[in-house]
Amino acid sequence: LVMQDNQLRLMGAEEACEDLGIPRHTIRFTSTTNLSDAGPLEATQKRVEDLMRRSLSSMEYEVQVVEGEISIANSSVLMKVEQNEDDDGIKDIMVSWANQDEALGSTLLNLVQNMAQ
Amino acid sequence: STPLIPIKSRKPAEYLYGKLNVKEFVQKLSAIGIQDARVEELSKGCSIINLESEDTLIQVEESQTHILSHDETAKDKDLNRQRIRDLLLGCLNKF
Repeated sequence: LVMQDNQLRLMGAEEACEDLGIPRHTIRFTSTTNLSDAGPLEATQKRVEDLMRRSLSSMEYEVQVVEGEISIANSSVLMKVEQNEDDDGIKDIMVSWANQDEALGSTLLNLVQNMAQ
Repeated sequence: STPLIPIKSRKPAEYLYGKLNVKEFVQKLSAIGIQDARVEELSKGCSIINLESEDTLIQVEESQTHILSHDETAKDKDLNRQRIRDLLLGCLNKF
């Protein structure tokens, strides 16, 4: 709710910040976990994707996969599985999310970490 | 572990604004026992904070802070990330 020229206006937060010159600050987290897995990269990507679909199926989150990158619709969460540069038997799983998706991002990181144990 | 939250129960977003005071943030890190913060100023308003003991890098820009961590063995590491997050939120303005 913004007061402008003696009038109250209902604006989206993004629009209001821009209008009033308030400098927004965003926080993003990117955490990488190592997974012992000597199989092909595609198989690990599929394992992670399946885990996400299974874990989120009852929560109305939509898991999307584009060119090996997993994202969750309507959120800032991104996940990527890559081959570790130094060790053929290890895959790196990266989970990244913005602060507003802390609950979802940290939950998915936790799932991936449990997978790695 | 954190329980999964249905999409309908997600909390409304908290809007953060302003710049991060790196000096204040590093002091707060030190107060919770993270005392090895190494700050490298890349340009005005742009720094990298290296927390070697936490395997964490924090990229600070005028309008964004990015926390990158690497978890060799996981578990307790995410608790540290959450502590760093709480400190960071305490250093920024919000509405």
